[in-house]
Parts: sequence; C-alpha cells; structure tokens
Amino acid sequence: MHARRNNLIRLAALGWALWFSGLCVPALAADTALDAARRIPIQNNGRVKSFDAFSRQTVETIAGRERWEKRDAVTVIFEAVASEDRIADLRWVEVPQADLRAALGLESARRHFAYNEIMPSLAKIEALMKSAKAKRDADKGTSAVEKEAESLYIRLVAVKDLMTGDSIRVIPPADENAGWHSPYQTTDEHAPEFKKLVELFSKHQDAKFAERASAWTDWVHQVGGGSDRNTIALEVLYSSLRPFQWSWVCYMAAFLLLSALKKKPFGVPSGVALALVALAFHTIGLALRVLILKRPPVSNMYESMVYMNWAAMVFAVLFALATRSLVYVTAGCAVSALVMIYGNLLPIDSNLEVLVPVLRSNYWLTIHVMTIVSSYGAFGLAMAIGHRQLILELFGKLNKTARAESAHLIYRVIQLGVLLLGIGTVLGGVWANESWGRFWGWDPKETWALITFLAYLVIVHLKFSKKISDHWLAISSILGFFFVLMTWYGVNFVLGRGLHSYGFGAGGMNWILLYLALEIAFLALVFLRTSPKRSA
Amino acid sequence: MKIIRFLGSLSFAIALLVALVAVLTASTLMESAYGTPFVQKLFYSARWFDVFLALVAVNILFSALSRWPYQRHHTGFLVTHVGILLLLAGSLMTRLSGVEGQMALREGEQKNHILGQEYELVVHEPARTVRVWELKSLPAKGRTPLPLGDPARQLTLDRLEQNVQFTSNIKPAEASRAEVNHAVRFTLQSQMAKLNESFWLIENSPDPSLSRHLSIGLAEIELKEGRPRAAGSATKDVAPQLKLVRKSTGQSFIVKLLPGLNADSVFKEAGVTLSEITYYPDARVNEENELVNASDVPRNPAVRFTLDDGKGHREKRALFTLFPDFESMHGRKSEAFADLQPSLLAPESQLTVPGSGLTFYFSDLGWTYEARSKSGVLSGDLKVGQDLPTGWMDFRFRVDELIDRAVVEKELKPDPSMKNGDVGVQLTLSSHGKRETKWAMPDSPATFETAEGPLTAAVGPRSSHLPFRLQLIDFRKKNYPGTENAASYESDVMLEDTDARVKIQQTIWMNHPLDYKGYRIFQSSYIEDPEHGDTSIFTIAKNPGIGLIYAGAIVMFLGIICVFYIKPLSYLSARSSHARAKK
Repeated sequence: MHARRNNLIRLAALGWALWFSGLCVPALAADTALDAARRIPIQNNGRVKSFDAFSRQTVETIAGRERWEKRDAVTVIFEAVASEDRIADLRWVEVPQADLRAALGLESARRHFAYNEIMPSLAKIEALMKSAKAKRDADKGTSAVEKEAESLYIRLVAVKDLMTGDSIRVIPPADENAGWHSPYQTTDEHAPEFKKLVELFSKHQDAKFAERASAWTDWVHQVGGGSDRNTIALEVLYSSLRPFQWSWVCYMAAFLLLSALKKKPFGVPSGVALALVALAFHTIGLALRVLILKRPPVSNMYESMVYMNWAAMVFAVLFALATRSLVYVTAGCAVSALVMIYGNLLPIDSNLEVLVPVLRSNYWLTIHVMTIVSSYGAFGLAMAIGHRQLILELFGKLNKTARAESAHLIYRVIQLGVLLLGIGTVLGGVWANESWGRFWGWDPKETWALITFLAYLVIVHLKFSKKISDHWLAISSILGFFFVLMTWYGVNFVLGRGLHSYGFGAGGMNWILLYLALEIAFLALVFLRTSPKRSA
Repeated sequence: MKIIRFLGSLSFAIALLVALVAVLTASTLMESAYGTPFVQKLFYSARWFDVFLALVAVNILFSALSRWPYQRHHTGFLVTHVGILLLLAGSLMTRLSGVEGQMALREGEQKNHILGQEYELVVHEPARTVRVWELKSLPAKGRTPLPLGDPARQLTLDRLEQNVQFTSNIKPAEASRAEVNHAVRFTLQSQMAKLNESFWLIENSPDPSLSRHLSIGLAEIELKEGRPRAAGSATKDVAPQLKLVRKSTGQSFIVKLLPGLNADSVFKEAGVTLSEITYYPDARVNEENELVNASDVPRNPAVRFTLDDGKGHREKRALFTLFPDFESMHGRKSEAFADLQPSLLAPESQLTVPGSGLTFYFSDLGWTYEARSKSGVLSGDLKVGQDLPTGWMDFRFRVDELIDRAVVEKELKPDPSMKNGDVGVQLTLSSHGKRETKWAMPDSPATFETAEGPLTAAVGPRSSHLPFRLQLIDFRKKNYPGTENAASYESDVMLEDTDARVKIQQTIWMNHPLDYKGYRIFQSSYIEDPEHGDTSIFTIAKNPGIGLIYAGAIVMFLGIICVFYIKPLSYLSARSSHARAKK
C-alpha cells in the first residue's frame, strides 16, 4: 500500500519534470532571425509594441490560439503578409461554434476556415450582428450564435486588415502624435525596405533578414527618440520568459512537496525553496508588466488575478515569518497555483493594453484597487487554510489544540483581509469623490465590496465574542470566499451592470460554477462526516 | 432597560449585519434585472432604508454606551464604533443637504443651473401660477389631490409609474367608410436566432416607428400593393455595370460588363486603369478557395479587377452587388485609391431573385405573399393563422391579423417589463363638471384645455440653481495615437460669481475638478459635434458631509488596528479570551 503510494508520487514527479523541461525548450531555442523580427516596433491599439506581441494577439484573435500549425505567431504573420492575396485562402479563421457553422452553411466537421470560405456568408453574419445590436439596444439578452457572429466579424476584419496591410503600422511618423503608417498604404520612402524584409523572411534568408531587420529597428527607434526601445526589449523578454507559467508550475510543485512529501527529509526545504522561486518569477512577471505598460497591474481581470495571488503569497511568507508556521506557505502555494490556472482557463484578455480615460494614471484608483485585490489575497489564503483544517478534521488528524491553532491562523488572515477590504472600499469612495463628487453611490461593485466586508464582519464579531467554534470558523472562511468571488468576478460577469465594467468581457462562467459545485460538495461532505460525531 | 440592552447587544448587531447583507444582495440582483432607477427608489432612497441604517447607528451607539465606565482596554472597540457613527452622520448630512447634478455646455454657452437625477412635476396654471412637486414625495398608488391656485379646478394624480412608454395600437376602423389603410400583423419565429416576436406593417402611419417596411438584417419584409410575380417569369437580360465615382469631384464613370470587354482604357479619364476584369453572375468559393462562377443565373453578382494609377500603385478589388458594404467594413484600402468609390450595379429585375425577403401583397383580389430566399421563391394566398416557412435559415412566419381599414391609436402605457420607457404620471383634471385624464412624461407634457387657457403639467429632471455661472470656452479631446479612442479630454471654463465679484478661468479634466464654495465641478463626459461645436458635460456636486465621512473612516480604521493588533487596547471585558489565552 505504502509502496504503491510512493510509486504514484514518483510517477507524478516524473510527469511534472517532463512537462517542466518542455516549458524550457522554447525559451532556450533562440533564433536570430525570429528574434530580430520580434523586436520590430509596431503601433497597434494605441500603443507602440513589439511585433511579437502584435503577432501573438493577431493570431490569437483570428485562430483562437497563439501559435498556428505549430509555428510561432511572428512567422505566421510574416508569411501571411508575404503571401498577399493568398491570406484569404489560409484556413485559419476560427468558427468554434457548431450552430454558427450550420447557420452560415459551413462544413460542420472543421473548426477553422479560410476568409474566402466565410465571406459569401457575410450577409448572414451582418444580419446576426444587426439583430444582436437591436436586442442590446432594447436591453434584451443576445443569443450565443449572435455573440459568436460578432466575434467572427472581428476575426474577419483582422484578416482583412492583414490583407490590405492596414494593421501593419510599422513606419513611425515625423510628428510624434500622429498615427504610424503601413508600408502597404503609403508611398513613404521606407515602405520598400519593409516589404523587402518581409520577402527575405519568407524566403528564409535568415542572416540577411536579421541584419536588415536590426537596422530597420534601429532606424525606427532613432525616429521615435528611442523611448520605446526598452519597452519592446522588456515585452520580448516577458513573452519569451513566460514568468507566470513558470511561477504556477513552481507553486504547484512546492505545494506537492510541502503537503504530500513533507515527511521526506528533502520535502520541506525544497518546497520552501521552490515556493520562493515561484514568488520570484511571479514578482518579475508583475514588475515587467508594470514597466511595459507604465501603470500598476490591476486594470483588468487577468491582472487582478495575478496580483491577487501575488498578494496572497506575500502575506503567506510574512505570516509564516511572524508565526513560524509553514501552513501559510503551503496554503499560499495552493491558492496561487489555483488562481493562476484559473487565470489561464478563463477567456479573459491577458494582453498588454491601454486604458480608458477614467482609469488612466490615477493615484486613488490604483491604491483602492490594489488594496481591495490584496484583501482578496488574504481571504483566499484564509480559505485555503480552512480547507486544510477541514480535510485534516475529516481524517481525524487534528486534536483540539491543533484545531484551535489552525483556526487562529485563519482568523489572523481574515483580520488582515477585513482591514484591507475596509480601507480599500473607503479609498474607492475617496476616488469616486475626487473623480465625480460622490463618495458612495450604491454601484453594484461597491455594494458588493460592502456586502463582503459585512459578511466578514459577522465572522469577526462572532470570533471576537467566542460565539463561533473553530470548526465553523474554517467553514465560514470558505463561505466568506463565495462573497469575494461575487464581488470580484460575479458583479462584472453575472450582474453585468454598473460603473466598474470597464473592459471586462463575459465568459468563464462554467469554470466558476465548477469551483462552486466542488466547494459545495466538499462542504456537504464535511457536514455529513462531522455533524453526527458532534451530537454523539 | 431590557430593550436598551437588546438594542446595544451583539445578537442585534449580528442580526442587523445579516439582514443588511441579505437586503443589499437582493437589491443588486434586482438592479441587474430591473435597472438602477428601480432599485434606487425601492431601496437606497426609500425611507425604510434610512430607518434601517438608523437602527445600525442606534445599535452601535447603545453598545458603546453600555460599556460605561470606560477603561483602557475599551479603546479599540470605542474608537472603531465612534468612527462608524461619524461616517454615518456624515452620510446623513450629505443626504439631507447635498447637491448633485449634470450640466451640459456647448462651446461658448453659459448656464447657472444643473439638472438632478430626481424628477419633478411642474404645473403651469392658466393664471400663470406655477406649482412644483417632487415625484419621489408623491405616492405611487392611490389617487392624490394636487392642490391648485384656482379652487374651481381639481387636479388629481391617478398613477405614478417608473416605466411608461408610447405604444401605437393598430386596430380595424370602426366606421366601415373609414379610409382604406392596409395593415398586417405577423409573428416571426426562429430557433436559431432565438426569435419569437410579433411585428406590424402598415400602409400609412402617423407614427414613424411603424411603416410598411421592416428590415431584420437577414431579409427585407414589406407590405405592397399588387400580386406576386408568376413563378418562372423570365428576367430581362441586362448587362451589369461597373461604376466608379471620384469622390472629390463627384464625377462618375460607368462601363457595361459585356463579354470580351477590354476596359483598359475606359477609365482613363478617372485617372486609373482597370485590368483583369472578371464578372461572376453567381459568385461562389470553390474547394480550392477561389472565387468561381457557379451558374449564369445572377444570384450573387460579383466582379474582380485590378486598379492601377499609373504611379506604381496596384490593388486587387472584389465587389459584390448584394454586399455593397463588403469593402467599407474592412477599413481603409490603400490611400492611393481612397478617392475612388467603385460599385457593381446589377439591374433590379435581376436582384429580386437572390435578395432574401418577404412581401405581403394586398389587392382587390385579396391578400397574397411572396417569400424569397436562396433556395427559391414561395408564394400563395394569405389567411389569418397560417404558419409558413420563409426559406431563410429556420425562420417561419405566422399571420396574426390582416386589416383592410386600419387606424393607429397612440397611447402611453406602463411597460410591464419595467425596462423600457421613462417615468410618467397620469393626471385627471376636473373643472366645471368636466373630467379629463392624461399622461405626462419627460419631453411629453400633458396639456388640458380650460376656459381660461391651457393648463400644462410637465415632468422633468429637477433643476437647481447655482450661486455662480459657468461658461465653456473650449473643449479638447486627445486620442491614443493612431486610434479614435479618447485618451483624455478637457474643458477650459470660466466661472463667474457676480455677487462675490469672482471670476475664475480654469481647465477641468478627468480627476482634476474645479472647486468653488463647496461645489466641485467635474469633467464627466462629452458629445463631439464638429459642425456646431462640441458639448462638454460636467457633474457638479456639493458634498457637505464629506469631511465627517473622511474623519469617521480614519477613526474607524485606527480603531480596527487597535482591536486587531494592540492587545492592551483590544478586549471588551476583563475576563476576555485574550486575557485567558495569554496564560
């Protein structure tokens, strides 16, 4: 029995190691031509970014993933541009929904289609979009097919923009504030040079391409004053390093070492070391995003998720140092790995984008969001320790003292969360007052922050007056996190109203429901196993 | 005494907290379903909600008082709860005497009043007296007398509804000699588009929202006099035409697309040459993803050609008659040809075949229909209750009503879904034994004719006067480079207070308001209008309780820090858990 378990662990470790090394390969396999191509500056969505970031986004928009036919996005885009009209025949436009394929008369067995295959059905797509718009104007819900038609239209425009060269805005203007030009739309003297670059790349004349592309990039930076050079270098580093992917892999490994393998002599030290490595990657990733976008990393759902578990991990390390309890680090690794995985699962925008005016460079905005999201981190940590306590209780591995200690650990983090959430909510009021003269307006997001605050206040009051048992404190740490989820995700995605909906699309509901279902099943199990014992 | 102890008890506090959580959850869910104004009225600005918050304050107050005489270890608890009381007091001050409203100024314009979110009912009597009632102070149900200056007239409020809208009812005329005006009501159904909706088409309508034509994007539906064309009637063979318009000069150049056409020279005057012109009467995409001709039946006329301006710019183009927006939807093409607007014209007789649509025909011989789709043409007689396919996707239509002599009646009605429409009041005026009932809503006042002249009742946002005038001098918007998306916008304004002889000129932008006499003027939005000047929209607010709110919040957090992190200041009774835990 014991040996079998050990084998399982070894197998899991081997699997993980293989996967981990797979991650390293793309980072190591440097290609000078590709690298030079990545660094070419391009203006896209209101920002000068690397050709690498532009290509990834464009390929993802069109094909639904960052790579196409196992080739790097930059290669895909360069070859597409080089092929001119044949882009229209490339079968890479994703039509993921079977109903929409049926409605447009497309082959049902395929998922990707050529632009030219879809275009004859343009009238149908436009009809679906019109009816979606009409429904939205009348404040009615749109059907899934209509939403898909709208996404498909965006994909078609992305392809068309490549065909006309409209999105290839690589030539900087003399005037700083004007838009950049596309070599395919201008008679600018530099246009032929870029076209030549595209030709060299597609003919695999790598050495020549690398040399001329570097010269081109140098020229662009010279025109632009060089201010974008560092940003682009950082952006290329960010996307080749994949710090968040590394960090969640490390968190996962650290969690396994600290929980399943902690009895082994190597378990704890290597687990702690890996957790710190993960935190380092995590911090580097956040720092890179801040440096590239020149704004704090809390402006969309993806960033707030990454920042939330960073806060959870930092709190975990601080609490562990203060209390000498490793439980915090283990729980922190579990939360961080889980939230990071969710960040990749949810269909949310992880790209680096600019902001709407009301969100720009504002002190109070930044402070209030960062404070509130860090409180989510604290509550997440409490929730994870609550799980640990209840699981150990289920297996009868916690005596009364140990249970009291565990509950105390939970309570300490909840206290921190309450303080941060309270301050953050008030600071949100300060921001609102400074921005439009109203401290409190019962906007759904702020109302839900208040609801969450009140819910945790109930826990704090009960604990303070000793009216809640250690067992129930653990349960309430899990129930409390439901409120956090509603405030954090639900207000934007479920209620879909209010002032705080900047740029938060919809989707991922299934994953959140999966979490809720698992959690409720877990709590049901806890109730079934523990309540008879108590009455006895 | 027992009641006071209860009011200050922890159990009451927990009950209030749980109730507050439940109420707020309910309100946000209802807001999602019914909209913000609905919950504002039902919850946040309702009297009972104030009472609720007052109970919270009472609970905190009594729980603080019950600890008397205070000792050092009460500090954290007391400071926290005094902070909350200050915060609530500040909110009450703002609620009682705060001002908040919007001001929209066009460049050059000057105003000294703002429009609030609350609505008011203003009644102008013939004797020029004006009476004003706040809508929120009026009961929503039951008849309420609204006293007027002239006792001979009685005005009563019958109903106050949050969501009233105009509806036009189409009915058969009662008089048999009424004018002939055909109308049809039908229900369109589609599983795929999740549609099941009833529509009217009417020959002549005073209401512009009703017409003889309906476009659902997918197809055009119309009501017409006549009969469907007999099936299989031959369409005339007319050559399609390629048209090129030079937008700057308005010149247009047309060439007929006949077999063997050599158009190299045709457009010389337009400054371009066209080559490789291929015409496809029935364009399709084949398995190799090339544009090919499926038949000679002009179902989907398309043309491909190459433009050349003789200066090294060449561009391939494809035009579809049925999809004229095909090119414009894809953003700009090369700048070299930006001035040229090409289009493919095919004679109408050819297009009726592929254009998806449904036509209801009326004539002396009765009602008939014709449904056109790619798969063919369906036609036949129409009868009420028929359920027929249209041929577009899975769409079907059912005939609900066929009227030969229709009249349109316009009526204000509460919207049962509570989503559309605006606030409205139903009023009844009785004078000299005569009674009349009318609806009044924003932009649509009710006017009652009386012997002395008209009496008007108007509903509109509450206007409040400011102690100063504001003038918009200039509005500017900056975009993110290379996009039309606003990165920031700002307004130069002149504030003038004649009483205090103050003039301030300042620039207001996002998060940089102008402060004057307790009022804060914020940049909130804008309407761009290059022709008549841009309009800048300001939010102007006076928030007298904000000082107390900030102070209360700071005090509260200091208290919480004491309770959580400074042990000697943090327990409530000498036998507290912390004291025991220390042992």
